[in-house]
Amino acid sequence: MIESVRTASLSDKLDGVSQRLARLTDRACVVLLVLLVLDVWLGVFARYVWPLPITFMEEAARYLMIWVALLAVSSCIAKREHIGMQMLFVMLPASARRVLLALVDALGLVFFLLLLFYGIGMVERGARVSTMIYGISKQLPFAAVPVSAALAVVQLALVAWRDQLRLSANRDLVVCP
Amino acid sequence: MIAVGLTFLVLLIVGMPIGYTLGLAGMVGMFTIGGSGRYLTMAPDRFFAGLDLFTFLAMPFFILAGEIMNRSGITDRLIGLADALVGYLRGGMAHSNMLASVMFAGLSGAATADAAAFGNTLVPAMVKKGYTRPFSCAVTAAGSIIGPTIPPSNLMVIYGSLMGVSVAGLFAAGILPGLLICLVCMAVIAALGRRWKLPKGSARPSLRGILIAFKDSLAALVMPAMILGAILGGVATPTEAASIAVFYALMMGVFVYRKVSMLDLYDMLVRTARITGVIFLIIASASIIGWWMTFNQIPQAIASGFLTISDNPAVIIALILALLLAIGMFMDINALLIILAPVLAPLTLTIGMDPVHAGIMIVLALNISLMTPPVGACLFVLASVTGEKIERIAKSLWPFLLAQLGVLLLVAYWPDLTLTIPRLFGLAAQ
Repeated sequence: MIESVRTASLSDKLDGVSQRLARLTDRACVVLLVLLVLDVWLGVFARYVWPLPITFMEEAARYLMIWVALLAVSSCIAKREHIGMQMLFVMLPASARRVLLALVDALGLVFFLLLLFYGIGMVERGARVSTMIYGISKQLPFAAVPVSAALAVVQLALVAWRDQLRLSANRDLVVCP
Repeated sequence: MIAVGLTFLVLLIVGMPIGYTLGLAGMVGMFTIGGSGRYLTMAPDRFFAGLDLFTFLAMPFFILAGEIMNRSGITDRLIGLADALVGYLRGGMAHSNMLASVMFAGLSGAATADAAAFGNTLVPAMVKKGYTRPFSCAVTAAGSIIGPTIPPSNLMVIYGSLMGVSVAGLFAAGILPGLLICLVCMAVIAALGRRWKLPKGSARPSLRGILIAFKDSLAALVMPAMILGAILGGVATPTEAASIAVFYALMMGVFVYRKVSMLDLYDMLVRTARITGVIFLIIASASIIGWWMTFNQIPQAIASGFLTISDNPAVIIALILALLLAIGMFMDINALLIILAPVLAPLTLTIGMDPVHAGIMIVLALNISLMTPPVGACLFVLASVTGEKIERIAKSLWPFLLAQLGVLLLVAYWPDLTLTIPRLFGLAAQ
C-alpha cells in the first residue's frame, strides 16, 4: 500500500516537472512564433506597402520557423503527441506493451542523444560558415538542433519514467509510445 | 540496405513515433556506409537542411489562420449558409455538411481540422434531426477530405516544397477535383436519400434568408478568395498570402466577431507550434533517411522495379495509386508523402506526367486514405469526438469511398481536369 502511494507520488512529481518544462518550452515557442509572424508581415509591408531597404526577413523567418518547430518537438513528447502506427501495439497483452514501451522510449532516447552529440559538432562547424543574406555565423540557427534534442532527451526520460511507474501501479492502463 | 529496411519496418510496426523511426533508420543507414560511422556526423546537417525551405513557412501560417477563423465561430456561420442553400433537399443536413466542407476548405489546410470542427457541431445536429450517428460521421469524414484538396493545403505545401513543384500550381490544380468530390458525394446522398430513408429537409428559405446567411459568412468567404486571388494572380507567394490570411483572420476574430481573446490567441499559437513540431520532426527525420536513399540510388531502383512490371503509363499510374491507397490505410499521410514523394515523383516524370498533375494525383490518393480504416486519421478524430465506433462509421462510408475513388481515377487518367486552371494562370505546361 505504502509502496503504491510512493509510486503514485513519484509519477505525479515527474509529470509535474515534465509539464512545467513543456509550458516553458511552449512560452518560448509562442514568443518566437510571434516574432516570425511579425517578421513575415514586415516583409509583406516592405514589399507591397512601403518599400524599405530590409533584406533579412526571409532568412530570419526560415531560422525562426526551424527554432519554433524543433522546440515544439519536446513539448509534444510531454503529451506523447508524436504520430506513430499503434494498431498492433494496442492489441498486445499489457505486460508486452509495457516492455515494448520501455524499449521504444529507450530507442527514442538513443535517437535524440545521437542528434545532440553530432549536433554539437555541427554547431562548432557552423562558426566557420556564414548565412547567405545577413552574413552572421550559422551557429545560432544550427543550435536549434542540439538544444531541441537536449530538451527532447530530458522530456522523453521524464515521460518514460512516469509512464513506467503508472503502468506498474495500474496494469490496465494503455499508454502508446 | 536490409538492416535499414528491417529497422524501419520493425520500429514502425511496434508503434515508435514515425519521426523517430525515420531518423533512427536513416542513422543506421549512414552508419552502414563504409562501416566506420563517419557519415553519422552528417545526420544533424541533413535534419536541419530538411527544414530550411522558405515555402514551408506557409504551413504554420495556414494552420494559425484556420485556428483563428475556427475560434471566431465562423464554422457555424458557414454551416448556416450551406443550410440556407441546400438544406431544403431530402437529406438536407448531409448536403449542407458537404457544401460547408467546401467553404471550410478555403480556411483550413488539414482534413482533421474539418473533421474535428464538424464532428463537434454538425454530427450532433444531424443526429438530433433523425440521421443515424454512423451516417452523420460518414458524411463528415467524406467531406473532410475536401479540406486538403481545395487550397490552401498543407500536403500541397509539403509536396511542392520537397519536389520543387509550384505550390501555386498545385493550389490551382486542386480546385476542380475538390469541387468534383463535393458534387459526387452530394449525388451519393441524393441517391441514398429514399433507400436509406434520410430525413426530409427544412422549408425552402426565402431569398432574404439566403442573403442574410451570405452576409453573416461573407468574412469567411473572402479569405480563401483573397488567398487564391493573390497566389494565382502572381501578386504574392503562398507564404506571403498565408501571412496575410493570418492578419485578416486576426482582424476578423478580434475586432469584427470579437470572439478571440489574448488567452485564446496564446492557446492557438501553442497549438500551431505543436502541430508544426509534429509534422516538421517527420520532415527533418525523413531528410536523414532521404540522404541515405539518394546515396544508394534507391528511388531509381524502385522506379526501374516498377518499369520492369510494365512500361505502360496507365499501368504504372494504377500501381502508384494501389501502393498509396494500400500503405495509406496503415500510415500517417504526412509521413507517407514525405517518404514516398521522392520515390514516386521521378517515376511519374519518367512516364511523362506533368509534375503538377502527378502531385495532385498523389495528394488526392493520400487524402482518400484519411478515411479508410484501420488508420484513417479522420475516422479516428470523428470516433473520438462523437463516441461512435470506427467499424460502424466505416459501414456507412463505403458509398462515398467508391465515389471518391471514381474521382481519383478521373484525376489520374484525365490530366485536363487538374491542369485546366493552372494553365489558365500559366502555372502548368500547355
